[in-house]
Amino acid sequence: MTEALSYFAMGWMDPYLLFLTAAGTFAGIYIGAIPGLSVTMAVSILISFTFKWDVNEALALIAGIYMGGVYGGSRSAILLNIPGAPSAIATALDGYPLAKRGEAGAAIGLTTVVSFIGGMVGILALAIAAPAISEFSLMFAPRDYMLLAVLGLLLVGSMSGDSLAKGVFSGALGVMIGMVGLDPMTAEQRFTFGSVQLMGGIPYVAAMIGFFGVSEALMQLHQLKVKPVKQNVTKILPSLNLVLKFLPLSLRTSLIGVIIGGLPGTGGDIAALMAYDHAKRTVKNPSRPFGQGAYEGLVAPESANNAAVGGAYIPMLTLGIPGDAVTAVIIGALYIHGLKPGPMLMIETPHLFWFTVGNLVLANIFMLIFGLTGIKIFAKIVECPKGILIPLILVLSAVGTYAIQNNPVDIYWMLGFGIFGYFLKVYGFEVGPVILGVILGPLMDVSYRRAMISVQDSASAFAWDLVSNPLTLVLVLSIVALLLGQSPLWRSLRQRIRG
Amino acid sequence: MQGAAIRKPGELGFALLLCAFSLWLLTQAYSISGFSSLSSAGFFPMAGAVAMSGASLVILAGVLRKQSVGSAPQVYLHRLFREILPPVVVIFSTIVIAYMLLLEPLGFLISSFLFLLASMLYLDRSKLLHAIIISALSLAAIYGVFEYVFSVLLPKGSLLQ
Repeated sequence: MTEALSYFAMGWMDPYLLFLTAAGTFAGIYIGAIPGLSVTMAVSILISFTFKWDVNEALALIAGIYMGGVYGGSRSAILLNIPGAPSAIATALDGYPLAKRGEAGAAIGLTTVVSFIGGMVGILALAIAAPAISEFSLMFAPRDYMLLAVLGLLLVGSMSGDSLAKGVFSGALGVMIGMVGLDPMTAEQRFTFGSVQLMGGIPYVAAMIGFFGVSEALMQLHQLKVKPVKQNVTKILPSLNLVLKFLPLSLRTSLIGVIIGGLPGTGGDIAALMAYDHAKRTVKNPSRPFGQGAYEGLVAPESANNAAVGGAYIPMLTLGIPGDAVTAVIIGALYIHGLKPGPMLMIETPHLFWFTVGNLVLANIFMLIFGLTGIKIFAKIVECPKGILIPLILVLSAVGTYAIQNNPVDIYWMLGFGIFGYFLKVYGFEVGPVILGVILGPLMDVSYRRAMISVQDSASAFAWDLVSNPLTLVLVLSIVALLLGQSPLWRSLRQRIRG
Repeated sequence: MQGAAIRKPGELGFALLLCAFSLWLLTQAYSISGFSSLSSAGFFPMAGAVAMSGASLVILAGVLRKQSVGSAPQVYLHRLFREILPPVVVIFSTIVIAYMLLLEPLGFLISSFLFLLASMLYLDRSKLLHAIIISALSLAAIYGVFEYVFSVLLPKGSLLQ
């Protein structure tokens, strides 16, 4: 126990490690908050940057950027309707309407506090329940991962935009973009048209920055002459009463975040959407209607996506399987430094586990401090003339995309997706499902094929597995309920019941 | 059709384009491995393309159900350029495309400076000196962070080397 505590406190006692965690968190917040930049980009750059560093120093910096970045993504979602990360898609739904009312300061203050709560719940789960959660995650068969990914896509498709059909189209489009390249199981070429460039696939960050950043920048041109809304930045820190009012929702959705984040391959993106959906279904009298600036619409996804950070570390450290794109990069960093994440990690290198827990707690505290102290400056960004903001967003988008692989072709992809995304938005489609499809498509593909191979390609056996396993059945019923709930038949039935 | 939604200009064309694209993707997905097996490399892409095609057909049906405004070509074009492709979007997109194409030949600093200057003068109607100062300062900050802090080698300009 004392050994565990000493490893936990290592990052707190060493001034340099403390500084690196603080610097990482600060950088993460602003990288996540600035449209065009992404946490995945920052962590990818840092891997080569910290190659020669001591492993603890590298981990301290990366943990700070991760924790700060997940939170920071909500800022641009609230202020500019440009989610800084897929985990902030749901945040934009109610965050941006709040900014349009001049309440960006209060919105960011609330998201900072609930992100802190969610982060702590996630870290607590990592510290106390990592083995139990990883045991639970092992109950998930490949077919369950496929269904979870389908559910995540349908959730985001149903939440916004004109119709479920448009949501399904966007999600399927994203899945198809994610399929481009070499098949991970058989190395067959898919949609490469003989191009060597396409064999490497389409970079997801270029797609994300294009669909989120560039397309929104072009959409904002429609409102060039609209005077920016004056933001109220006098009331930033939420009152204790407000925090206590939302605490039960924050804790419930944090648990959703931990569980979803704890599943290998799924992270804050699905967690945030499920949390938002949970809030919509369970909160009877929201502060405002969801989608029009409901505080509950901020509390739920932001608690969940920060809780998912701690959750994502669980499969990474205990099973050696990444929880999301960022933890995939962190696993790479661990291998570079000669460590082997997996079941033996806690036995052979327990100091790494407790050091990581201590680091994450520290990063979470710094996130709260830095998050609450930079709000006024950030809220003023909204008041900046759009004619200056939009070109800057585009330059940052170009640099952020180029920085991933130093490949100018990525910028052309970003531009192409940005222009296509503009037309999608103008005609009432949402681009969130596209990005989620790009991320989840490969997971769905591999999970489906593993499930099918396990039943020797028998469609009937596959169908039987969908209904005979309790966990799988719950997921199938959730998908069916979601689809039925969006159907015109259900809507007319509901109207008749309500009289 | 009283109370029916009105079709946006170009909406039908866009829906048809999405349908055609989805069906083309389906043929491409089929060419990967056909129906050789349920766990083949091409099966899931086909399933995705089927979902896209199905959704695009539903979307097309929805657009066809909407009321067409049925106006004269001049009025239609006026609506198109007001609601979908206002001149500011067309012109600014052209500036953006030019910027992205000039990034490699001219390098990051020159192309980005020219882009920022041109965009601010066009979009914000900024005074020239104002635009030069903001462009230079923001570019210096971005360049400094990426080149020296993150060690990202930004394009130096193939034409200038």
